[in-house]
Amino acid sequence: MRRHFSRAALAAMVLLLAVTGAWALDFGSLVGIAPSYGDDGLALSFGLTPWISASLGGDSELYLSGSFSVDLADGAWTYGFAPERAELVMRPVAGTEVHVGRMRYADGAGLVVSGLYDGFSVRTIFSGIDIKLGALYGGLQDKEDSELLMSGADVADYGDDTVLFAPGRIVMAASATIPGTIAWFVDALAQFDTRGSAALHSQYLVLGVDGSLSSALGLSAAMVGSVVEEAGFDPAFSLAAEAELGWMPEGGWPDRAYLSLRWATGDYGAFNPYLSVNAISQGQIFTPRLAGLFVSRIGYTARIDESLSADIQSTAFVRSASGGPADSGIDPASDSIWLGAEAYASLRWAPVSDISLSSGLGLFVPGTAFLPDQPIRWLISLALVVSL
Amino acid sequence: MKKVTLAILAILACITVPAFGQSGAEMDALLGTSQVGIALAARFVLPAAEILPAATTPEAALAAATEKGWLPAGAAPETPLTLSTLSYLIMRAFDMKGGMMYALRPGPRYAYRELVYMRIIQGVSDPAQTVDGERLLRILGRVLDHQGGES
Repeated sequence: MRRHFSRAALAAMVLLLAVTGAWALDFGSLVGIAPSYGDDGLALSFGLTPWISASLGGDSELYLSGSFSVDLADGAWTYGFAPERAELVMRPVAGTEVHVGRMRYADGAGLVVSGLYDGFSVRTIFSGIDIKLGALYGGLQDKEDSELLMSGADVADYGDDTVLFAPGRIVMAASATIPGTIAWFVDALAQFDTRGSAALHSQYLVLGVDGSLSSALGLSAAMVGSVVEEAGFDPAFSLAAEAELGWMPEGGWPDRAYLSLRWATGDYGAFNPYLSVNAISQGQIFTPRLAGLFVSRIGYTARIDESLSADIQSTAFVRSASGGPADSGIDPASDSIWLGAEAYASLRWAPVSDISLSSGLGLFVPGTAFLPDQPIRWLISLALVVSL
Repeated sequence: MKKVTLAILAILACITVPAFGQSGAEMDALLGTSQVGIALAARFVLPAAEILPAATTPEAALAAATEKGWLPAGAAPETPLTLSTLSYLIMRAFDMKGGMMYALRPGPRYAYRELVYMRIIQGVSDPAQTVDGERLLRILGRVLDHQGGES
């Protein structure tokens, strides 16, 4: 499949050159190296991401990129190529944008969908309301790079070497945002499983606000109601919510202190574990999904100067009595709700426009819900990206 | 809408004439230009960078920029200005520092990247795109803002 991806990418580039003329293009490449070391051992990743950008006349533009990678993990080397963003953007009238191709898509709260999809989206302003519609498909992606894992069938396909692509799931999305100092938004999303047997469909309604309480204080909050329909099971209802308060003290380079809370139902009465479309991890070292979790995070981001910023954060994980996250280290006999706490610090330095260096250091201390012999989990990472 | 935009730009041009160092009539002519030539661009960029006096001519500005190697040697004054050519002219005229690739290979390609990164060039663009008078003024305005912020 990777060879087919390479051929497809090459063919697309040749077609693009023929259609637009090479003179109308900008092109370049990102080169990256990212070593990391943690309780899982050494991991190393080399990446080369060529890109092409072209204006197609008027306000239309095309962007193509793909990533060649060589990775070391668990003592084994792997290599591959995957198309990344491949997007045609058209602006037929002022205030309206049409995106076609492979694009990043997320709901307003980032609690349901967040990742690369193939399809199209339209964004327009109608009567002062920002409206966005999307029709997206996840099944054309390499399953290794996709985070579409919702059902037992998805997990089985992920472990099956004969299955190359991610689950064939369609996402239809509509959102409306009323802009303002405090913007209100609503998202309605429906996910359809295109596989006939053991299909799992789901629908989501997201309501939220995002805005400024004062010049120094920002607030965002959202709530999600979801229903999951799986063949052979009754419909499963679940809820999720998030809130974040940010404070930006006065000063030259704006620092930011933040407090965020996230919660989702587990197995409790009429409610079931919350199931997002993408596996959206809730930590840096300990990376559970939100189902049956209460996650609180406090952090501070400091802009030391124009090129250097640092972030330090602390996260606590508490699970519901049942329906919380699965982890090989969790004690199945424990009824403790305390999963543990994580501390993470990161630094980003971009001395010039085309060089970026970032590093991270974090540790997760397992709580009483874990087996007693579980060690502290930790990770040190470094990433250097050069834009050619 | 276009007329309103042009009117606003004309007012802005009148306000910012001292900064660019040109007459109102020249600003009006520039705003009406759909494809700026390299000589006219040099005539606006070099005085804005205080390299040439405000009363310079397009021909003199082109000669000065060509002599310094900031514009292609032997190019006709009406040669359409591209965003990459404008970027290199601006980077050199305002003595702006670029990234690693610009330091290694200074030229229009990486100068354009630098101005996109700094959001001095905004909107849909590619290096070969020609520039109208309105866009040249907007870009020059952002350069002056950026330079003002640095000093």
